Amino acid sequence: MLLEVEGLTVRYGRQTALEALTLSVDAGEIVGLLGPNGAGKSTALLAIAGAILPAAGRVAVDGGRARVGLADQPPSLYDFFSVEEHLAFVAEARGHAGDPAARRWIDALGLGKVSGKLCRELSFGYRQRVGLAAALVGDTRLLLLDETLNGLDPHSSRRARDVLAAAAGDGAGVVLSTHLLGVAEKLCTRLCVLDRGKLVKDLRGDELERVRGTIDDLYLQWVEE
Amino acid sequence: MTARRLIAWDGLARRRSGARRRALLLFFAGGAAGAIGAALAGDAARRVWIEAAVVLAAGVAAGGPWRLFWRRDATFLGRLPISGSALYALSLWAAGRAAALAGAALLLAAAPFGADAPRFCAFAAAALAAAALASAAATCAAGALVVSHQAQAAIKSLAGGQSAPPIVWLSVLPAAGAFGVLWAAWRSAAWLAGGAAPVPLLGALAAAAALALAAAPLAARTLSAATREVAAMDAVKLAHVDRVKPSPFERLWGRATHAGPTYAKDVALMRRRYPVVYLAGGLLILAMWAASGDAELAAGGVLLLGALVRLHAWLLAGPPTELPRFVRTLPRAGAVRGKRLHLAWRALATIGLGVAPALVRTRSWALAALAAATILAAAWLRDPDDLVQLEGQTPPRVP
Repeated sequence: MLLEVEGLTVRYGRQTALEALTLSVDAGEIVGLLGPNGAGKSTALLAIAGAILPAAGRVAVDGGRARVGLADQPPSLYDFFSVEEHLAFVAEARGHAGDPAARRWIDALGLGKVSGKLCRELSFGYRQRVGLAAALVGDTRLLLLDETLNGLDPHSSRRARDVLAAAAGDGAGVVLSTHLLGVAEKLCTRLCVLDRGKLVKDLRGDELERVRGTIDDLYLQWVEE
Repeated sequence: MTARRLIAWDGLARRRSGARRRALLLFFAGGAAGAIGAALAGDAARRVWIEAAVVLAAGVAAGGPWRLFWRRDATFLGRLPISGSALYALSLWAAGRAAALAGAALLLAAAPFGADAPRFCAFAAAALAAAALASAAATCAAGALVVSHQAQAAIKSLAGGQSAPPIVWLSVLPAAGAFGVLWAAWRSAAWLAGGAAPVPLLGALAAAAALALAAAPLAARTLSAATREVAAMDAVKLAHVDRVKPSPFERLWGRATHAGPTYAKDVALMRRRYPVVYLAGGLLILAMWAASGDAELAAGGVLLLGALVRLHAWLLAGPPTELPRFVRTLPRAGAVRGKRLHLAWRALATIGLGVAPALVRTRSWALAALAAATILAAAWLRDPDDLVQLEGQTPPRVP
C-alpha cells in the first residue's frame, strides 16, 4: 500500500473541513477526487502532504514524506527562479541533485521553450505545468494534484494526462482533485467523491466500469447542490 | 540538499527578487544618515549611536523566526525533505547576514567618532555577533518546543494544567534572547566612554556561541519537522480570519472626506490581515504617554511611530491589501485618493494620540518639527506607482 489515511479530520476554527477521511491508495492507481467547491478536496490533499495539520487522524506514506509530490493551487513556485532553476532546486531538495528526470518532465510537459523564463513571467497554464513537473521530479512515488489539469489547453492537457498515466505505469500513485468529470472518467482508475468534508462515494474496478460514460449525470445525484 | 547548496539557492532567490539590493540600500542609507547626524550632533550622537546599536542587536536576535519559519517560502521549504542541519545553517547564515548589514550601517555611522571609532565598531561587532548566534539558537529551541509533545505536556504540568498555543514559543524564546542581548549590551555601554571592561557583553557572546553550538544536534533532529509544522499551523491559522470592522473613527473619517471604496476596502483588509500593526501602534502610543515628559525619549518614539506609519503605507501597496494587476483595471485617481486619505488619517491619529501629549508636556518646538516632518514624510504617498509596488520591480532577465 502506497498511502494509508485513517480518520483524517481537519478543522478551520469551528468549521470542520474534512471529517474522518479513510482512504488507501495502491501503486499504479490514479484516484480522481471529485466534489463540489468547499467539499474538502484541497484540504484533504494538503493534510495528506503535511502542508496543514489535521485535528485527528493518521497518514502513512510508503517511503516517507520525501516521496510525496504536491502540486497545490495556485502552484507554489519561486517567482524569481527560472523554470529550470525551480525544478533543479526541488530535485536537489528531494536528494536528487542534477536529476535527469527534470529534463524528461520539461520535455514531456512541453515546457522546453519557457525553461529559461522566470516563473513570474509564465501564464497560468504554464505555471500549472511547472507545478506538476515540480511534483514529479526527485523520484516521487505519491503525486497529490490539486486541480492541476484546470486551465490547460487541449494539447497540454493531453500531455499532462499522458505524463500521469506514465507515472502511474512506473508504479506511482496519483490523487487528483478535479471538477473536469470527463477527464477524471478517462484518466482515473478510481473515483472518490467528497461532499461537505465526507467521503460519499468510492468507485473502482467493475463498479467504476459500470458507470463510465454516465458520471456527469450520476455526479449530480450523488452530490446535492 | 547540503547546507551550502541551500544557502546558494537562497542567495540566488534574494538576488533575483531585489531583496539583497534593497537591504543593502536601506542599511547604507541609514548608516550614511547616521554618520551625517553624528558629525553634526557631536557628543549627543554617541548616545543615539549606542541606543541604535543596542536596538539593532535586539532586532537581529528577535528576528530568527522571520528568517526561517515565517519567510515567504517557508511553506514550500517545509514540504521538501530538507535536513534540519541545512535549515539550521540557513537560519545561522541569514542571522549573520542581518547582523553584517546592521554592522555595516553602524560602522559607517561611527566614522565621525575619530579615534574612538574602532572601540564603537568592536562593541557593535560583539553585540551583533551575540545577537546572530542567540537568534539561531533561540529559533531552533522554539521550533523544537513547537513539535515536541513531551515538552508541551511537561510545560503544561509545570504550569498547573494551563497551556498556551505551542506557536507562542516562537515569540517567547527569541524575545528572551533579544532581551538578554539588549541587557548585556546596555550594561556594557559604559566601556565606550572609557568605563569598565564589557564583561556582560563578552559573557553574552560566549553564551550565545555555546548555545548555537549546542543547538546544532537538536536542529538536525527537529528543525525540518518544525519548519513544516509551523507552516502548517500558519496555514490553518490564516484559513479563518476574524472579520474585524473599521473603527467608528475610521468610518467617520471615510464619510467626512468621501474617501471612497478603496479607503473602505483598505481599512477592512489592513485590520484583518495585519492586526499586529495596530497592536504595535497602540502599545507605542501608550509608551509615548508614559515617556512624554522626556524630550529625548519622545524623539526616539516619534521616529519609531514614523517607521510604523511607513510600514503601514508599504503594506497598503501590496498583496493582499492591494492587487497590482486588478487595481490597474480600476479608475486610478479614486484609488490613489483613497490611499492618500487612509495614510493622512494614520498620520493625524498618530500625531494626535501619540505625539501631542509629549508636545504639551515638553513644549519643545524641535520635537514638534521632528514629529511633523517624520510622520508626514512616512505617510507621503509619492505617486500612483506606490500603489503597485510589485509591478514596480523590473525582473532581471535570465542570462
